[in-house]
Amino acid sequence: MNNAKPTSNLAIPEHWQARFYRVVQMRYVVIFLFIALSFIAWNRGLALLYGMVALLLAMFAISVVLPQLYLARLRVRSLPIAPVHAGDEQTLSLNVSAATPVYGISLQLPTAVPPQEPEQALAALTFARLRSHPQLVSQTHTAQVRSYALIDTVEAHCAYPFGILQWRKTLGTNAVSRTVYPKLIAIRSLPAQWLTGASQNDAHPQQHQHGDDLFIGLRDYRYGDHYRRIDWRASARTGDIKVREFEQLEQPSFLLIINADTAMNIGDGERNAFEHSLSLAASLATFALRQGYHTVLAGACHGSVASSQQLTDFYQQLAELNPQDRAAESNYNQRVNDALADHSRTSVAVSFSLEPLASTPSQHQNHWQCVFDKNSYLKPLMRVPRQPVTAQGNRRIIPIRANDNLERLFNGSP
Amino acid sequence: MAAPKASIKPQAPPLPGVLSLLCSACVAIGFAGFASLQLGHLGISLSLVVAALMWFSLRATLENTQQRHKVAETIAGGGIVVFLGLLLSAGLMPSLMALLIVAQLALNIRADRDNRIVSAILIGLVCLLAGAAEAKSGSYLGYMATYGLAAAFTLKSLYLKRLGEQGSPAHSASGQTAGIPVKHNAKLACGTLGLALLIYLFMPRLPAGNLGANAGGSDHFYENPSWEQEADSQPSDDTQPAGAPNGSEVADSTRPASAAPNAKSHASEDDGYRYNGFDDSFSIKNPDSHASRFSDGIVARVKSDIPLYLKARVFDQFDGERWSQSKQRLRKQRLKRGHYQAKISSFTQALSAQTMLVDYQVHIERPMRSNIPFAETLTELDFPATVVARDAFGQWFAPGALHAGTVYGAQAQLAIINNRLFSELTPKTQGVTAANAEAQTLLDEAVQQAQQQRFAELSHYLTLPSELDPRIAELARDNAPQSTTDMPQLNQAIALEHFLRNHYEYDFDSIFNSQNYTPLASFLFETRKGHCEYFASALTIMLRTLDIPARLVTGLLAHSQNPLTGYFEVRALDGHAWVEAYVDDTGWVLLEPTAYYPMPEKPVHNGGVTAEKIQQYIRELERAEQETSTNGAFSWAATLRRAWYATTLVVTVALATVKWLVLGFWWLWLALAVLAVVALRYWRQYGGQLRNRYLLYRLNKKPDLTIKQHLAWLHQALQNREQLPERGLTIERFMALIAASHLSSEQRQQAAALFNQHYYSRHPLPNEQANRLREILHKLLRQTLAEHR
Repeated sequence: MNNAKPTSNLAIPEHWQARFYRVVQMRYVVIFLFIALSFIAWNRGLALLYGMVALLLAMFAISVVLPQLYLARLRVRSLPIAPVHAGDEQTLSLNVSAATPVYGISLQLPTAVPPQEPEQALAALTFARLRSHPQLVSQTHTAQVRSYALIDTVEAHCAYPFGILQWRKTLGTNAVSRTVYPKLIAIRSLPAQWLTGASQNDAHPQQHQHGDDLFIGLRDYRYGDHYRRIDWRASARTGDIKVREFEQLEQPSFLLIINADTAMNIGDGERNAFEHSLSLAASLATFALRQGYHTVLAGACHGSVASSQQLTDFYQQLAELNPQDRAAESNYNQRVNDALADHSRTSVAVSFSLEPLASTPSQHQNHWQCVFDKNSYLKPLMRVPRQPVTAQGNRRIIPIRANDNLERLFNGSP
Repeated sequence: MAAPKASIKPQAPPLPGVLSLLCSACVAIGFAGFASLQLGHLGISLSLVVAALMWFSLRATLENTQQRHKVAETIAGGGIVVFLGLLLSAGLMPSLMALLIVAQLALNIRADRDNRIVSAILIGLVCLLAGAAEAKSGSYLGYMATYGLAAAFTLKSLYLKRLGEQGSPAHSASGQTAGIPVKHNAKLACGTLGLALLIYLFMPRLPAGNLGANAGGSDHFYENPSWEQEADSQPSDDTQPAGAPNGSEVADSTRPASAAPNAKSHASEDDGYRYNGFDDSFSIKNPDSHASRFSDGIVARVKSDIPLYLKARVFDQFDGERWSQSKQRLRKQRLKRGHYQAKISSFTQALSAQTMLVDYQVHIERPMRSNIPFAETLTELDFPATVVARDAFGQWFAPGALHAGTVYGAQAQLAIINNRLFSELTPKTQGVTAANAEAQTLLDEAVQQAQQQRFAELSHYLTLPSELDPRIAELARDNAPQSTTDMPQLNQAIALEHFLRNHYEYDFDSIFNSQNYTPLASFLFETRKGHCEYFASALTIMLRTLDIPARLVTGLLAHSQNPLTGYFEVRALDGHAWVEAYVDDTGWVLLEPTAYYPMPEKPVHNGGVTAEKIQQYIRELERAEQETSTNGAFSWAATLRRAWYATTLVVTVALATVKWLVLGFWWLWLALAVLAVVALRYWRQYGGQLRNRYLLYRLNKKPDLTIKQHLAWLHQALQNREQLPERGLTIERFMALIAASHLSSEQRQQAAALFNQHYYSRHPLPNEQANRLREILHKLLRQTLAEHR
């Protein structure tokens, strides 16, 4: 029989511990000791204690001078940061140099640089002999949320050698951008029912036979091209991967109407309606390009996506997008209607909103309204019943909750 | 049943070896400081055991939490047993220290976080401080310095460990994981200690606050049942002010003044009313006659802010050769918890005397007689006894001889008039005016009567030996002229004091030949040299010939302060005799006729920075050594002293030179500073251009550079133009450079191709091509250097 109680019962509550460690910091302990020793030395006339007081003063003096010397010697140069999608690993690299060796430095991004994660320590230099050549310091971490920031400063911290007093210096570097694209949802095939009514029924690449399209020639393979388009014979002949290009007589196309209204910005961190809408937009554009569809952007973004370079530009637009303060949702509704009118030849228009929109798509258009459930984003603990995808003419209302698995939702099993 | 999942959490990885070692050293050094005072070498051995236990407990790896907790609880239980055992056998402090160390051992096993490191540093410090409160030797600073270094390096290792944990494990910096070089650590240690030493030497010393201070820690407690009985049966004389001259004295007719002058009485008998010279503890005869003639060991240590004259005995009768006391009586005084508080007369405040309260502690280091040395005027006494006694002259006695290790504390109210220290002041009615003439007459009569009574009671302080050399009185008259100042007698006494200090020499030999025997005439008119008893006896008798009541006082002179420990060290040579004279119906002024000892002027706190105090202390020791040691003999103390003097000489000369240069040529420095600022500004603006011009000059002087040199110079030139902040001339940078140059298109193409070939081809360029590249590079370099920004 085991009567042992779980040891966690004995533990001091964490909030107490946090409070304790907030007060009992090294510098406060040493300052308290200094004051206490000075008082005892003075009050009791213990001359020996003056030695200890002198030692503490020396430690303080060194803790003030040495870090400042080291920080003054430090030179930092940022290396370009490759953009990644949220959820992927991103590597930040710095070239650090100093005229003479420096020790105990930690480098951090300035706290103003988004995303403001709790721990942004870039790297810790416990030992750096930087006299002869610059030293590369890099750190790989998982980018959590979509962001875009221009980094032209780095914060260097030093509390060497005793860790008593921490000094901070903002070091100027060459400006580099740190871009995190929206998270991509792997869309392999859209639900067939949603496409009903659209002029393009052959949204599945497997069914696309190019039967009605006009072959116009071969071109080099580009990232994003579907493998079915590769002309293997021509590739074998030339030695480079060649892709067949068709002029599609009935070009299937997507219209993505990006909503950047502040109203969309509900929810915390990754569980945010705005972020989810951008993820969906990016994923649909990626899917469309792979299928060879043309994508037109409207709303908060502009342009079109017909190549991988344009897709990257679209990602960049999304990364830099910030919620804009537009008062009423009706503005977006108006913009959606305008976009539908302007791009009436697009087969599928996708909008993102918190409420169903009163849209007037053309007869050949299929309007997918991604409607984000406000309650599920604002109240994460609230149980919100799942709503089915409904069709109203050629409009489809796709309700999305904060906890929904978007990948499953957009992959054929709504 | 299986243990709960929460309890099988694995322990955090053990601390790194260096950190464990430093952590163990912190606790062990702190404990060594404390234990070495209590147990000597055994304490050092114990501290090594503590270090080993600390090491093993920090390095221990136990699989699950429950097991760890069990071991920690067992250790903690053992700690309680050790604590109780030591509490009953060794006392509170050792048991507390042991408990702390065992608690740290348990914590080492139990805790996962770095707080065990911090607690180890703190526990080491607590042990060290507990030792520092008891330590009376400057060598304890060695423990402090070692502990300080260990603690500093522990903090450093802890910081680096935390930094390593904070940094990403994926960072790819080469060399980051390498340790700190030994040379850097050595420089850091030397820098920390050197700076601490510098701060210590220039640290001002303030007078002690003594808030809530009391004497404690005495190794001995004194009891005497018969004295206690006597004290209980006799009325208390607390109402009698301590400074009242002879108010309660009873003449002792049973003991003639001349009886048995050299008889060494046992200290506990306390019947030694005859001056027998200093007791054995003050013997300066060195038993080891080969090394030196004298032994100047420490007999007591006094913790005080100012130098003190600690009175032990007062003598009033002189028979021409020896001193004795005319009265005896021991009034026993019960102490409440070892505390005695005197009632200070309010009359003292009415006098125009400055007063100063001094708290001090006396630590007896060698056995002494039962006299309790104290400074006048005693206001409070904390003595480890149930009862003490007081003789007819106001001196205090313990129930037994004072043992080494006895500690007592006291408070004195020093009175200063005309910058001179008075041991007692006479309470008088001053400034009282009667309502009418008749009352005034009565009042004046009463005052006069009181004065006459006082003088009558002081008559035995005027007694002269029956066969006194008449030249002595003549000498006194000649050297102490009458003055018309406010305090003529005080001036006469000071004049005689100065006369003796300035015209007579101090000599140790007389101590051996004639202690407790004063051939006064021989000293004053023939040898003109002697030790303190000669000087004090001469001044006392000379004052008496001038009708100034005077007495000889013996005791301890605490004037040499060890700046490292803060204690005044009373050595055998500081067993002293001096004079008190009753002047101008005011009180007993303290007179120091012996030139060897400092003047007892208004006591001031021995302030200044530590270096000054060390200098003073070394001078005192040197003076004592000059008197006691054989000339020419080697001693470490003398060597260290010489080293200190050499250092201070160098520092003093350096500081004086700096002072002269700064004050004498301030205009030059100011001009140079302005010039430097302007030059710096221009250098920042045109420095690169100037450097490039210098390179061009060198290029003209030495045009045949190699390709590598050309590239290095080109790189340097670009850096000077602030076009290439980072090191390394990349191919891209090179292409950009030639694109912006004034080379012809053909030369550009050639330069790019040759540079590429030179950089990336495994085979060296053929001579012709190399020459061509060199030519182009030379041209490029010349263009770059000649170009202005």
